Amino acid sequence: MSASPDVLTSQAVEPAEAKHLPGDLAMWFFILVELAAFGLLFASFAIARFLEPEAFAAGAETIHAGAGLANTLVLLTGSFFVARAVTAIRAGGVERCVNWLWAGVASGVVYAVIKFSEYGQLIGDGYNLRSGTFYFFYFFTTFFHLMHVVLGMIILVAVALRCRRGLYSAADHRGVETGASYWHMVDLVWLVLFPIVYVLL
Amino acid sequence: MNRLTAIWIGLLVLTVASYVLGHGMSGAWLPLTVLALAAVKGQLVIDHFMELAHAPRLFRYAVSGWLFGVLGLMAVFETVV
Repeated sequence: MSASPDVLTSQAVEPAEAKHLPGDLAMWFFILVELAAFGLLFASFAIARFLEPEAFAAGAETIHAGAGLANTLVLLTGSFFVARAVTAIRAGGVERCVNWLWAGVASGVVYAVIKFSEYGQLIGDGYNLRSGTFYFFYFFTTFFHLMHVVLGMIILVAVALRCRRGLYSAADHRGVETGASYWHMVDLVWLVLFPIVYVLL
Repeated sequence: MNRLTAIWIGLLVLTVASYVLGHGMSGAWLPLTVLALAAVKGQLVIDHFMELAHAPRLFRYAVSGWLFGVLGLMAVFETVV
């Protein structure tokens, strides 16, 4: 992947005055449905914590916040990689686009490895879905999010393979934007999940 | 520096700041500060990574509305409840 500064190219492809929705409209409706589902989950989490404050405070002491921090940094970095992939293809850089997309997929792999080691430690400590309301919500919410990271990775792989076959260009790259939009949504959801589950004790 | 690179570094700094605040300090203002930092980070992702700053307004309002709605609900639970 190119490490050279591309200030000139990124200026050149800066979206102009015309309004532009990146990617397919259908993907954006799917994104809004996904956000609604996560919104309900977060609201349920808040209500459950309101009903059982002691159990949630005790549970929060046992989860590994450092792993949550690491995964936040990983997902933000992955989102940056994929944003660079979109910038690259707009400038006609097919190979650079493919490389940034693979970097995005790699960030998802790192995320999953950290997440499973986090689960492994907790389960090793004797906690699981049946260890009380807090643990049910912790495992359910983070695993539901992990499933979305996995779907995002599948989408990025598909887009990267199509890009490598030369199916996207500076003129036609809607598919890259569509995949990128889904990936950024997964990142955005985690940015809200992180303080709710890991930081506010 | 590339605009996206600057946004990315800013997001990393805000993330570490939020974590240090949440785990190193205490105070009634703390939860609201952490939620406010999350709102700033989310809006940066919405505007610059999702590129909704340049999209039809309805989509930016919908996604930002979700961000502020969820974090606002958390703020209500932290302060009122």
